[in-house]
Amino acid sequence: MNERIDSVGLAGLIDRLLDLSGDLRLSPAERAECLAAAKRLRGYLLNLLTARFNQGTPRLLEANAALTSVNADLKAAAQQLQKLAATLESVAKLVGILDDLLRLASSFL
Amino acid sequence: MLHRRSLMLTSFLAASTCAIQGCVKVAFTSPIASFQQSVDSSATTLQQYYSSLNRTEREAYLHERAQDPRLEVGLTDPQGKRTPLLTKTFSPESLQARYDAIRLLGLYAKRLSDLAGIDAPTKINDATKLIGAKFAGLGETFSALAGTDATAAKYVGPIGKIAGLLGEMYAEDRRDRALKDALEKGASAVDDVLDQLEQDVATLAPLEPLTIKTQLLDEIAAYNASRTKEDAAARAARLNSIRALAERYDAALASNPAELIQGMREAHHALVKFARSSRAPQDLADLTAALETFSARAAVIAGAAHELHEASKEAGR
Repeated sequence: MNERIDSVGLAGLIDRLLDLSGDLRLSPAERAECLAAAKRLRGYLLNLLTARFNQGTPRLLEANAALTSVNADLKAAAQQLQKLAATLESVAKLVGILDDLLRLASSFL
Repeated sequence: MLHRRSLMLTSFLAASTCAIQGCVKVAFTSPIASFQQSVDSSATTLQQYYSSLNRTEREAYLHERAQDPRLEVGLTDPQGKRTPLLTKTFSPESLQARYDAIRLLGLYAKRLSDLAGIDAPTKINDATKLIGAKFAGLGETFSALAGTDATAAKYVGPIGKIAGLLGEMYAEDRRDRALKDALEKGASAVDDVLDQLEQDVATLAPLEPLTIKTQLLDEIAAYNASRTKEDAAARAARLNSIRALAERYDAALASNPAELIQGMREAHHALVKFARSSRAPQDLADLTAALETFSARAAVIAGAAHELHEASKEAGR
């Protein structure tokens, strides 16, 4: 019972989404979508920061792998904004995974 | 003639040695006193930092509702989870145990520096013994928290070791043995506590800047959406709010307490190195330099944390 979410990766993802929500090259609708995703993920970060999981919990492995991949995609999308729509779909999938994961968490600070 | 010269030389050497020793005594006392102050101010800074986490969460909850009229205010949310309005997101008991751990390290460092000092160890007065006794049960406190607090169990061993050792350091009247024990048994336990504190702080560190940045982007979005419908005074009020949040965000980044823990570790290592040395002037110079670096770093972070603390109180009014 000592596995954890990649909180640094999750915090980095939220930070990137917040930056994009203040990027005036994006349409108001895209900015609103980035801000909404960032707010949702911040709520998960708060609850998952100190949560612990059993070793090898499949949903945790999936969440951490998705975090790495979405972070890389979002970094690339910040350079090429036309890729943003596809990346925001991946963010929405990640939100679903984290929602499930939260139900499995055991203890908090 | 030769005898007189020899006497003169001996007197000169004796006088020089006294002068150097006197100088060393003064020079040793000063950095140790400033080290104590830095540990105390670090504990206060960390206390402010941890307590601001709960306040920031309550503020974020209310801010989100100010921006979005669809969201209701309540003590329990529709999913049955307590909201941060009256419920502390981070347990006050868990946070208090960590402040006490930092103060225990400060007390240990004080006693170590007394033992390693140039003078005979300072006589321990009753008040200092009382402070030491206060920490005797801290290991049990962490042990009791372990059921609900994920990292509390990792403090139990090293905290118990330091608290026990501190009692021996007070009782022990043979300075050399007390110092040897303090170094052999205590140094690694102090490192263990600092490592765990650093991990806890690193886990929580991104939270406050991100919370404030989220509020900032919320305000920016609200300004951009309403700017053509509002008069100059209303726009100026919104822009002032944006500026205040941008300044709080800067202060939150600058007050990262992980650097304090790192500074404390380096200062402790310097103290241990000095205690093991032959106390030559160069050893003292190295110790003084390390402790001054820690003091300077602690002062900068304490300043930023105080600024953030005041700004957060202002924002909550």
